[in-house]
Amino acid sequence: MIRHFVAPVQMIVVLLAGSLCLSGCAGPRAVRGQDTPGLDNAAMSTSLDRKDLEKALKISMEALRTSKLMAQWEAENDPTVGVLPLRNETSEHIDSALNALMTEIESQLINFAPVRVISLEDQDTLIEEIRHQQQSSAFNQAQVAAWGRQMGVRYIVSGKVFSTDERTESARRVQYYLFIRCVSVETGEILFQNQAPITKAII
Amino acid sequence: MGDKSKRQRVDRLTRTAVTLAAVIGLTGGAGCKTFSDYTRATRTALSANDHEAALSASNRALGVKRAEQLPERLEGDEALLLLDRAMVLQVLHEFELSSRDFQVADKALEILDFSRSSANEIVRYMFSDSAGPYKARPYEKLMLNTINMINYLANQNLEGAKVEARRFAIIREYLLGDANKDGAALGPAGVPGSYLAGFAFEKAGNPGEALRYYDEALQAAGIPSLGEPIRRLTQISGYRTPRLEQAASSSPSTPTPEDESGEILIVINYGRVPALVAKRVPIGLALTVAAAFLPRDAWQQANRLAAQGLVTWINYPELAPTRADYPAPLVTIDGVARAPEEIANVDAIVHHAWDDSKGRVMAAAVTRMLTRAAVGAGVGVAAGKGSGHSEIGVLASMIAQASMAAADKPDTRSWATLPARIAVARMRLPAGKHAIQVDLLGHRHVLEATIEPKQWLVLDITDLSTL
Repeated sequence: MIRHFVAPVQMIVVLLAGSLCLSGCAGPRAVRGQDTPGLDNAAMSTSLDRKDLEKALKISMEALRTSKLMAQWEAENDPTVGVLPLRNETSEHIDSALNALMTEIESQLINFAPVRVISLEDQDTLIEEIRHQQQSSAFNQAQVAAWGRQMGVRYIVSGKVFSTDERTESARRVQYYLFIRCVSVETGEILFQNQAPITKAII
Repeated sequence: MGDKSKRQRVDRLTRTAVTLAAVIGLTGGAGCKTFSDYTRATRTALSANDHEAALSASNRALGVKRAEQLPERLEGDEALLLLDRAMVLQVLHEFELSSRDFQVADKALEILDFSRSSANEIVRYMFSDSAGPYKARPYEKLMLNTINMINYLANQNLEGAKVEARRFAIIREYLLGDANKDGAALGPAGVPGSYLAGFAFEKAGNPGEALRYYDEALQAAGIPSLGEPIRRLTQISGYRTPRLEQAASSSPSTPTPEDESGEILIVINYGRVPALVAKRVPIGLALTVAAAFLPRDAWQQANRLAAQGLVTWINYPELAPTRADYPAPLVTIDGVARAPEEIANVDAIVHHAWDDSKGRVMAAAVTRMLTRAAVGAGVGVAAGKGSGHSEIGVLASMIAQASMAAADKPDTRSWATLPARIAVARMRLPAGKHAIQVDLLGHRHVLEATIEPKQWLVLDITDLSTL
């Protein structure tokens, strides 16, 4: 009788020890994207990740490819284009993602558009001034044109990301809207504008 | 094996069980460390104004060696520990590292907020409130974005401050939508966040947005220093409310000069809110406090157990005794003394929120005690039947109850490095260098600030000592 009572206790001890060992063995480990299928697909947070940026960029660049502006660029003799840092008007700290997006826009323009891209990267003072001005609403079309002249380009590509953010007791959803536009430095006219939506959530 | 041998084994088992039950019962509630015990070293060092020691203690609690490192896991209470380190880093004016910690903690707390599983709830119900994921209190959620805004503003990073302001607005809106939960505590807890968000948007050139935030701040408190900026902003924005108009009309009628002066905002965080500590309260007192939150039959059952002397104490978290008051800080700029304006008595907010939840927490502790009694009785019956000896059943019941009581650690998790008070001193100053002194909790902070024409500057003075 006593044995019957003691045996389950021993079994519980063994099971507990076993589960502790198992939980101890499953620690975090570093993995490589190419070795872990689907690693880039999983959303880790409501911030923007590479997959989101690729999607948003694809939408915007497809729109640019088929726009009237592309025909205009083709008619010109390799016009110069500068890409400004994108403004963050969201509830997420996505500055590094937006910097990556700016560089990606430059790459795409270099690779498929009949333009010469002048990078801001070597113009530290100007990029600092632009970033500073972008923090305030004083940022406007006239200023964009002025920066374009400073950069020595004929067209400026600029953009901003807005978000609408909603929260309930069990979920949070962030809807991003990436706006990309291209402005003529000479006239200040907006020649192209497109919006790409991205939604992220924790549910 | 005869009856004598069986009897000896039963006696041996009985002695062991009695000893075990006694040890578990005696050491259980009192001996187990709770969350606030693990963070005491950080708070002790902060009280002694030894900030480097506070940082080391905070790193140790997180299991890392340097402030640049983040813990590998954030699923447990690490998010709360990160909030402590972020505060220490802010005291040390390591604004970038502090804001990184706040950001990471913010995301982790959000995930924890959504991650209440039924398994967690069962464990909480059976064992301890501290067994489930931490759910940040409304004022903690608001303060997180508020205090992180200071990091960005002190670094002149309006972009980052505006992101935090938007996050603050989202959580504020969410909490207001759920006002039944803690509506009373939300008002004053939101004032510093709305004030700083208004400042960020004002300096970013969004007058309408700035006025909206200033109006929120005025909903819960009168803030005379907002009169002048509101008056200035209403001249360039159409956004109006009766509160804003009243604030604008109460400011001096002389228009703000469009000169070469700049504006300085000194944010002074001082003192520290009380931590929660584990306490054992007599069952009689617990039943009085919890009465309104317990079903009648549960209350009667608990009273019966208490009357039989089977339960005498309840494990329970309580706010540690705190300093009753703090002397107001004094700001002196270029030899002219100015009294800062208190925009949040965080101490009062914490006490208010705790008083509101006290009955529920006590009721939960009583319910767990009843659950333990029921489980213990079940184990006793099963063991008695299985062994054929009722004594073994009684002992098994005692061991089961004592073990569960030992596991019932009071939930002392809270953000206990929040400042007790937040005050601001805001003024326009001629461009150039200025000598600034802030006398705070017996210490003099001496700074030299350079204000560029038409520019702004935010200075952060944080002293989390309580001595």
